[in-house]
This record gives sequence, structure tokens and C-alpha cells, in this order.
Amino acid sequence: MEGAKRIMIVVWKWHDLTALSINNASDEWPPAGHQIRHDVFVAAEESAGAIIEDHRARVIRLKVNMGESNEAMPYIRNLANAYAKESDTTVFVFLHRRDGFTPEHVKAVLENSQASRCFLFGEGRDRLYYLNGTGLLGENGKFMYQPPEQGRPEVKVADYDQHCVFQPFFDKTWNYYAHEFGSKIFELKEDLLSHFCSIFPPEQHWSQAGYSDYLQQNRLLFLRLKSFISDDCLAKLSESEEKELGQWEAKTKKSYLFDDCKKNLEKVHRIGEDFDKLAQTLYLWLFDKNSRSFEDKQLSELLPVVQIQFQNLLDAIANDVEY
Amino acid sequence: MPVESKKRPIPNFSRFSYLLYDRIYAVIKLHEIIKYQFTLLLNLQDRSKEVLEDYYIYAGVDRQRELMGATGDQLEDVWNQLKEIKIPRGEAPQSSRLFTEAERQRLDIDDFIEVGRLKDYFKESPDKKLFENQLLEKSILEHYFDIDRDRFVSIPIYSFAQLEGVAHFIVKDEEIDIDEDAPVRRRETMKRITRLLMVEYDGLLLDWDLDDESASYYQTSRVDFDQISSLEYYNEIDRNPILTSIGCRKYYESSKIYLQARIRQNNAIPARLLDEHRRRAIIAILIDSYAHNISAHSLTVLKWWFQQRAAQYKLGKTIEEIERRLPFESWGAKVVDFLMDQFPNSYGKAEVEEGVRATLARWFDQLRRRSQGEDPIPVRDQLFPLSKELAPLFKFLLEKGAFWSGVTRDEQFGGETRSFFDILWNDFINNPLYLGTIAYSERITKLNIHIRIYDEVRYQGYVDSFKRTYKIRQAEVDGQQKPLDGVIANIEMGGLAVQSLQHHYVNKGPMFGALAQALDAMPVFLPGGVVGKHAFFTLIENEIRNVKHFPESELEKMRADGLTLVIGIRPTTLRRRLSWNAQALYKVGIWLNHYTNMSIGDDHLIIKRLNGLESDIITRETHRAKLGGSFQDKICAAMLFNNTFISVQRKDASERDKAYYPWIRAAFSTGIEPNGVEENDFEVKLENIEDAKNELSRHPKDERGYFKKYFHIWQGAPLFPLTQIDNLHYENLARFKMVVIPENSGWYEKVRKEGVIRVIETSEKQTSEKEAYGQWLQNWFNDSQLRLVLMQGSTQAGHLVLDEDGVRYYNAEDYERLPHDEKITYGDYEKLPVPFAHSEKNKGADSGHQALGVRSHGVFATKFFDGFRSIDDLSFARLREPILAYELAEALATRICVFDKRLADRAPQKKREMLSKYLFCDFFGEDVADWKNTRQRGLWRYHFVIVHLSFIEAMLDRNGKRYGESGVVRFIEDEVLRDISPASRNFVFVITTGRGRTQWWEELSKSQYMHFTTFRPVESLIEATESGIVKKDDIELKYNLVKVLLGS
Repeated sequence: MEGAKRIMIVVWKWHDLTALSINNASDEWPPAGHQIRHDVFVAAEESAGAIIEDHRARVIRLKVNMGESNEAMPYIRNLANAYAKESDTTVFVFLHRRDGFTPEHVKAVLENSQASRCFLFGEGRDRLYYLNGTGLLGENGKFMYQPPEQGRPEVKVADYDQHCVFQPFFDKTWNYYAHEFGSKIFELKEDLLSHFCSIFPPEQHWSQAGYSDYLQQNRLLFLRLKSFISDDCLAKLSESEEKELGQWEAKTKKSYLFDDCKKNLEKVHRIGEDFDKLAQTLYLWLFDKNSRSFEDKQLSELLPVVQIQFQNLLDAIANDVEY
Repeated sequence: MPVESKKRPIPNFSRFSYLLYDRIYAVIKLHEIIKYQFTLLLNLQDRSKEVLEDYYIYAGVDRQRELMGATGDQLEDVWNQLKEIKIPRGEAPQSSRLFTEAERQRLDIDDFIEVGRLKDYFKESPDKKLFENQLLEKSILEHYFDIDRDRFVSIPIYSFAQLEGVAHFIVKDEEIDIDEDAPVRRRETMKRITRLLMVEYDGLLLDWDLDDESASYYQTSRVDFDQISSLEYYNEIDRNPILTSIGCRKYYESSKIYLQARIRQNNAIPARLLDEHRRRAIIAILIDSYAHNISAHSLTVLKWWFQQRAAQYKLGKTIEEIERRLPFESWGAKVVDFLMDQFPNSYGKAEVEEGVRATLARWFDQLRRRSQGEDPIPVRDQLFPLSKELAPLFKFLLEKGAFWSGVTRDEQFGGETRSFFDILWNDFINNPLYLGTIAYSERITKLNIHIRIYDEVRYQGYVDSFKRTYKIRQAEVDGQQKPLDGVIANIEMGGLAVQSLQHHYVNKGPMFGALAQALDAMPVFLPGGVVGKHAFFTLIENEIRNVKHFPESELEKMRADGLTLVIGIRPTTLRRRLSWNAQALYKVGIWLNHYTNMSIGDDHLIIKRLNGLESDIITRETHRAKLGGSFQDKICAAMLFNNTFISVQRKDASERDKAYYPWIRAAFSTGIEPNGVEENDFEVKLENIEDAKNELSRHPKDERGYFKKYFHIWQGAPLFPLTQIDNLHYENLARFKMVVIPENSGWYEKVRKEGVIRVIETSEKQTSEKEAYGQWLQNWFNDSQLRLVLMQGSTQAGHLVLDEDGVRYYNAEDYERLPHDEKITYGDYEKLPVPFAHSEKNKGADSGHQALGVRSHGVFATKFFDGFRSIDDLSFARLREPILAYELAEALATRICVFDKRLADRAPQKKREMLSKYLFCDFFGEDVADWKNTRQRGLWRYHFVIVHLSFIEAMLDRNGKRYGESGVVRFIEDEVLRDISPASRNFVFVITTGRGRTQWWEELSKSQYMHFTTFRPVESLIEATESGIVKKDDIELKYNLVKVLLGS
């Protein structure tokens, strides 16, 4: 049975690709006067030594010169649209942070193209990089290749000669990103609630500062929460906090930043309101030094409020799965 | 004649003569050979001068007078004349007769057994006048003897089978007239006297060698005892019958053991004394160099400039003045708020405000001075901090300290090989505060460093004659062939008047690129590393300092255009027929590129310089150091060539010494020929100095030219097959990266003692560099099969495979293309991950990532790889040469453990964990608990264990006593040998200290642990570590350390 088409556009430092360099790129598509600089890897299965391609799943590779992210935007947008206009097609766009892509670019892609999702990735910390069977990329500008060693077989994500990427890696990666935001938010909720529940007697009264101080004891949780509400512009991770969170990501090989989250949720699930509500609650409870909204509240009153708001958001995401 | 002592002067010869006379007289008396009154006239060849002339003297005249009681005999003038007179050969009838007979090889006991009459000796006739010396003899003898009656007998004085003189005994007639068989008449008595004289002369000569002044000639050690106790000598070389009559051969045969033992003893004592005098002199001379070059020239100026700069930071009044004219509130409040907002946790508001006000005030003052037309002063008027310039100055001064330790220790334990470019550019030229002020006494603040690289030499006449033509090497520059001759950089301390705030003190010259490339391809061996480097720098500094000898007109030009120092370099061979590739040296010329008069009075400058250099560094009489630039040069050149400073006076211990002493050659040229690629040099050495003098005497007196000095530095080289143990002394083994020795030759320890760590034993006759390196690494890594995996983040980006087939490097792409079976095989090797950061942004331990830092301008990227611009290239870059895989594997996988506070301080805790885990480099302070822990885990885990000497000294032995400096051997036995076999060939115990103490080394030298123990100056290790830390390149840090430890 023919399924939906899945397209990943990965804008990265592809080693073997010539960088896109478009000055004053127009909205024309295909771009007049400029060569098309992307290429296509088709998902495929290897069976009995033969490659069986699945043209419904593709990785579109595109390389942008560092610092030229803005100039590249029309090209990326048009590229996404070119694929998305085909029926029953979902397009995920992945933008490499180190090439200058920021949450603003995510917003621009989502608002001005038919891409379903747009993710920021980089520094080897996201699941787009290969780790334990999931992910596609090595950290060296190529699809992941891991030679055989100490009894373990080799890992080969793609075949460059055949221009194909192997299906299992594609599927796992696609599935991860299809649910990434839901998973991240769910884990944040669980970690937050267990952090407070497991330690505090529920009837105990706490000052606002006490809650903040206690959150600080779990530095990673603090940073993740701050990143979450940062995406709602309620607070901003400082440069050093962002660096620190990056170090956690590098260490655990997990993505914790939420800077591309809300924009995607807004576009896909139209759940900005639920997000705002939760972010506001978290901000007032744990980050706003001047707030007295939760002063002397018992945890037994407070945590259910937070839990419900999280759940509402997660339900909204879960109820609206479109792929 | 076979015995060289003939050619040697006897220092203090008049004293020697006095004592010889005394001994002969006493022995004759003791043996009661002459009963009545007698005296003796002692004719000896004059041995007081370097060059022996063919005349005799009266030896021991003063003693003769004393023994005769002839002090008030009114013959004062006669005695004095006798003392001074030099008797030409023909004017001493008796002595001449004996010497002539001896030369004809006919001297027999019968020739002199005849007792003569004084009256016959002094008899005159119209055709036979007495010689002047005979008249003097007569005046004396007629006062004490009866010329008409009394007699004389002449006995030859032999010493070590060489005729040295004649003793004329004057005896009373009664001595002879007793009977026909009077003792003096007897043949046997004459033999006995000859033997006695021989023994006395020999004995005195042996004593004389004990005198430290005489010791430099080592008279008796030149005697060939095998020869003078052989039949062949008396049958073929010296057939004089007298030698056989007196039993000369048998005497020396039976006395050989005794005499040789005495000679050994003799040589050791004065040599030690002289060595001590010279050691002191070396220190004094080099201290003088520091005092002159650095203190008197540079630091004096810098101190003054910095004093003035410091005064400019008294800004209180200026701040008040600005406040009056422009209130802070109107311009500064916003700046303070901005800074406080950006950096809330740094300073309080008041401090931030103070900083802003002071910054403006400093700038305000400077603008005011400039607008008032005040001449800018270097350093004082540099607005920005001078840290970039100060850091190399401090490094330079720190290294001078290491140099001093090296001078006092004078044991260099190998050395380091670095490129000329690295040495000159990084460590010498980029030190503008020093170089730019060294000629400031002449008001010169601009220095041009000019490099000229020569290729070939053509001699006019014989090889190495004083007239030669050098050809300058050519290279492609901007698409054209150009001579490698030009200014590589200039150092400009002045020039602050230009419209630029950031003054550039060091500027690259137009030929920088081509010269840098050529110099970078020239590996130089520096004995003792930092010690050799500063010996080289001293030679250069001295030349710059020589600017003071130039006339004012030339100095004016230098002030305007800069003082130009030329460093000429030519790869050359070692002067000997060698069986190995002997492109061993660089001949380095240094001069100021400014004309000077080549004559001083009647002397030519180059002859004068060479004569000066030839002489000892201490005065003969008082043993005081001869201070001055020439001797500084001589000492430093000797060190660079022989690896030790004390070798400075080693003129003839080997053929090499004879060929190269006094280590420096003097030369001059008139500059590049019109063809632009040749230069004619006139260069003098000791061998041809006389010919050169003749030639130069024909040169115009007002000749002008460039006054040069040349010396030699060894080339660093990869491999030396040592096939004869004698080569150990002729070559400089420490300059080789690897030395190959025959299997079971027993030379391993000897070569290790030369400072070479990589010693490879093989049964192969021919070994390539790769094979040798491969074998070395197999030994070094215990026959391991290793795969060092260079990781970019979590991606395998490069594979360095080491096994019995050598070392290969594969980048990720190449490795992926290997046959699957091969990958399976390598995949089973021991894996050593070398993790690098994912990107430049997240690199090094400081970022909190478990990754090593590497920089695109660091050694890893530039030395080893082609096309390594950033970490993103790691998977695709290839090694520049396959052999580099060996060096890289060695650098990465060599295991080092350091116990030194200062080194540990350089590596922060976070970094230490990384360095330990991935680069096998453990840094510890000097904590006994750490030592015990490490030892318990096993020192065998390391290749190098580096321990600071003071840490060893302070540690307690089993009895609770400090080991102290003299207890280093005990420490090794107690602590190191617990789990290290003395026979281990992949373990080196390294002692480090910044001090020049040597007792520990002397103790160690007597032990059997020398082959796995060595020394490295702590400054070299610190520099190796610091440069890696500052560059944020962890691989460079490790590479530098391994390079310092292995020497190259």
C-alpha cells in the first residue's frame, strides 16, 4: 500500500557537497541563474545484496556557507514547498545551528513554507546524529559510518555510490522527530514533578524563593525549564546557561533546548495558548522573583495545577498527530 | 722522532732546569761517584718556547752558584751572562759533538768515556778562537779550578729515549790521577751516571706534568711506551749504541707499568685543576655576556622606558581636569550602566566607574603629548598593553636561567632538534623588547634580520682554502627564481610617530615566505635543548652588540635604515672521510651588513680575531678568565659543536678537535658579486693562518668589508647506523632521532649514555628509517597491536594502526574503503580513542566536553596533516608523509607521568583528567601520597617518569631519612626498581630541576642505571607544556613533551 511521503531536508556542512551561495536569492523556483545545489538520497532496504529503493522517503541534502543562512532562506523555503506540494507529503526541515540558523529561521520556514516541522540541530548533540541505531549523521559532514570493531558489526547509514540512505535509520530518525516535542515536554513534566514530589511532604508550605532555590538543586532541570519558558519569551537563557545546557546535551547525547519547540507546536497543533499558559505558570512559580502567586502554597495544591497544564498541552499534541 | 714531547715546551723551564741541576748534583754526591770537589755545566736544549730553536742553554746556573758557594766571587756579570746566553749548535763543541753523533746514530759509550783536560778545551790558536760561551765558562772555572790540571767529562742526558742535553762534569785532577782505574774513568761508572741522569730527568718531567700550567702539554702522556720498550725501536728507529749499552729498552719495558700509572695519575690531577679554572672562567665569561648584552644594553633601556610608562599611570590630576571640562555624568554614566548590565558580577559600580575614568585619562594624556609635538618614546607611548611583547621577553629571561643551569651543570643529556625557522622566528625574532634595545646605546632601535642561504662552495686552490666562493641557493618566489637572500623580518622599536595606535614591533620582510620555507626545512640539533639554543643566541647577540665598533657615519645610516644582522647558513659535511652520509653540519655565518675597516695597525682583523680565539680562555699565569665577546663566542660555539662548554679548550683530543678548534673561523667578504648569486669569502682557520697572513699582507691597508664569524651547528637527522664504536666519538649521536646498532654488540648502554633514547638493535645490515622506527615502536609499546582512533565527537575520523608491519594512518574515508577483513583485524586491536570536539566552538577540556583541543595552527594540523583547516577536515585530511604516522603514534601513545609542582600547576585539574585518560599524560604535584599511589599502580605503565629533584631529595627512605641529592641512586633502587627491571628498554626515569647541581648525576654516573635515567631542564618541560596550554592545543602539549623527552 502506498503510504505518505516523508521528506527530510537537512541543511548541514555536508563534506562532499558544494555550498549553496546565493546572494539576493529571489523567490523564483527553480532559482533562475543559479544551479540547484541540493541532492537527494532515497531511502532503501538492502535485501540479498540488492538495493530496493523507497522513493516515498528521501533525504534532501543542502549545504549553506556559514553566515549565509539568511540568503539561503528563499532557497530552503522553495525547496520545502516544491516537495510539500506533492500530495500526502510531509516535509521536515533540519537547520544546522553552526551555519548561523536560529529560532528566527525556524519561524521563517514554518510561517512561509509548507514544511510541517523545522528543527534546529548541531554540535553533535541532537538525535539527527547517529547514536545507538537512531540518527543519520556522523559528526564529520557525512552520513554515519562506524567500522567493525571488537566483535561489533559495522554501521553504515548510507551508500554514497547508490545515493541511498538505509531505511531503518531513516524510519527511526523520522519517528523520533515526529514525536520529539511531545517526548521532550513529557520528560520535562515527569522530571519536574518527580523532583518536587519525591522530596517534599505535600502539605508543607514553601516560600516562593524556597521553590526557586530547590529547583536550582537540579541544575539540568532548572536549565531545561528555563529553556522551555525562554521559547515563550518569558525569560532568556544567558549565554553561559545556554553553554551549560549544551554541555549537558553533549554529555547525555540528548536534546534539551526548546528554542524550536513552540513555533512548531503552533504551526502543527495550533496550541500556542496551552503552551503560553503552562509557561506562564512555570515562570511565576519558579523564575519570577517578584511574583507572590505561589507564596506559601502547599505542593499538594500546586503540583496538580502544573500537572494538568502539562497534560493539556501533551493531550493537544497527541490528539493531533497527523502522520 | 717518534716521541712528540720533543716538540713540546716545558712551562717554567728555568725552574725545571734549576731543579734538574739540583737533582743531578745530589745523586752524584749520594752515590759517591766523585770524591773531590766538582761542578757541572748543564747544557740543555731550550724547551721554554712553543717553537724549539736549535740552540742550547746553561741550565740551573743559579743552583750551580749556590752549590759552589759562588755568591761573593765578583763574577756576578759572568754568571748572569752565562744564565742568559743561547749557544748556537756549533759553538758548544762538546755538546754539539754528542748531538751530532746521536743524529748519525753512532753515539756510543766510547765517544764520551774519554776524560778531557780543561786546558785542551780552552786552548786557543790563531785559527781557533774561543766562543763567547767558552770565555764565560773559562772565567768561572779558572776561579774555582785549575785550568791547567783539572779535567772534565761529558755525559749525555737521555729521557724517554730522547737526547735532551749534556752534563759536563768538571772534576779535580786528583779524581783522575789516583790510578788508571779511578771510578770516574771506568766505563761502568759512565753508564751508571747516564742511567742516573735519565731517571732523574724522567722523574722531574713526570713531576712537571703535575703542575697545572704544564698539564696542558701533557709531556709524558705522549710517550709511546710500547715503542720505546720494543726491539724494533732500537734496531730501526734509534740505533745509537749507547741506548743499548745503558739498557734503555729493558728499563722502560720493566718500568712501563709504573710509569704509565704515574702518568695517568699526573694527568688526572692538573687536568682537574685546569678544568676547574676553565669551568669558573666559562661561567665568568658568560656572566659577562649576560651583564653586557642583556643588562647593560637591553634591560637598562627597558627599565627606563617602563619607569616612564609607569609614571603615566598616575592619572589623578588628569581625571580631575577632565571632570572639570566634561563632567562624568554627561558621558560616563551610560557607559558604566552598560558595563554593569553586561557584567553584573564582576566589579562594583564604583570600580567600573574608576576604570572608565582612568582609561579615558590615559588616552587624554597621550593625545595631549602628541598634540604638543612631544617626541614619542617607545614603550612609554604605546597606548595598549604590552603583554604580547613582554611575554617573549620573560620567556627569554627564564630560558637564560635555564641556560645558566646548563652552563654550571655542563652535562647536556642529549638535546632537541628543531627547525631553524622555529628557533629564529618564534624564539629569537619575536622578542622585540630585547632585540630592539640591544643596540640602543648607539641610538639604534631598528634591527633588520637578514637571512642568506648558501648552497655550494668553490675553493680557489685546495679544498677548504681561505679563498672561496659561495653560491646562494635559489628558490621560486612569485613565479621567479630568486636567491634566498633577504630580510626575513625587522624589529622596530621606534616609529611610534605613525598614525597607528597599535604599534607593530615585528614586521615580516618581503622575502619572509620563501626564507621561512627554506629555514623550516633545516632541522637543527641543539645540545641540551634550551641550553644549546641560548648558546646560539649568544653568538648572535654578541654580533649585534659589536655595532659599537662602527664609525659614526655608518651608525647614522643604521639609525635611519636599521642595523642589519646577516645570518648565513650553508649545509655542509663533517671534515673526515666517513662511511656514512656526512651532510652533518650547518656552517653558520653571522655578521653585520655594514662595511668596516679590515686592518688594525699592521694586523688584519681576521688574523687578529683568530689569534685571539686560538689562545686559552684563561690566562697562563693567574688562570683568570679572559672576558670579552670573542671568548663568549668561542665557548658557545664549542658547546654547540661538542655538546659541552668545557670542551672549549679541547684542541687535539681527536681528529675532529684538530680540524675544528677554536670552533670559530674568522672571515670577511666585500659582499654579493654583481651576478647576485655569489659571494667571495676570505676565511681563515688555524691550519692556514700563516699562508693567509702572507696573502693578506698584499691586500690594501685600507681594505673594507663585512667582518664575519663562522661556526658549526649539527643538523638534526633521522637515522644513524652505528657500525663501529669509534664513530660514537666522531659523530654527535645525540643529533640523531634513532641510532641503529648491531645485534648483541653490547653498545646499547654506551649509546644511551650519549643521550639517544631511540636505540634499535638489529641483525639487518641495512635498515630504512621506516623499518627502524617500526622496530623502535614495537619495542617501545611492547609488541602491541594498537589502533588509535581519532574521534570527532562520536564519529571515528581517523585511524592510526600500529602493529608489527609498522604504523599506517587512514582517514575515515580511506579506512571505510579498506577490505572488510582488514577492518575486522584492526577492529580487534587495542583501541585508544583520541577524542576531539565536535567543532571549533566546543573544544578542549575547558568547554566541559570530554574532548581534546586541537588548533588549525597547531603542530597536529600543520606538521602532520595536509589540508587540515579545522576539525571538520579530520575525516578527510591525509598525513603529509607516511613516516609521520610513526611519529604521531609515538607522540600520542607514549605514556608519561610527571611529579613536578610547576608542571602540574600548568595543567588545571579538569585538563589533567583528559590528558591522563586520552593522552596518557599524568601530572602530579609533589605529594608523597600521589607518588606512593602511582608507584603502587605500577611505574611500568609509563614510558617516562619525570620527577623533580627536590621532590626526590625531600622524600624519606625506609629509615625515615631524606634521600638528599646524593641519594638519587638509592631512591631509584628503593622506589623505581620495585617494578621496573634495570634491563627494561622502554622505560626512562627523568630527573628534572632548574638548578645546576650535579652531585646526583655524578653519583648516578657511577651506577648501573645510567641507561634508563636522564635529565631534562625543567624550563624545557614547562615551555613544552605552556605552549600547548596557551595555544589550547592538547596534542601540541603532548607532542612537545614527547619531543623534549625523546630529543626529537
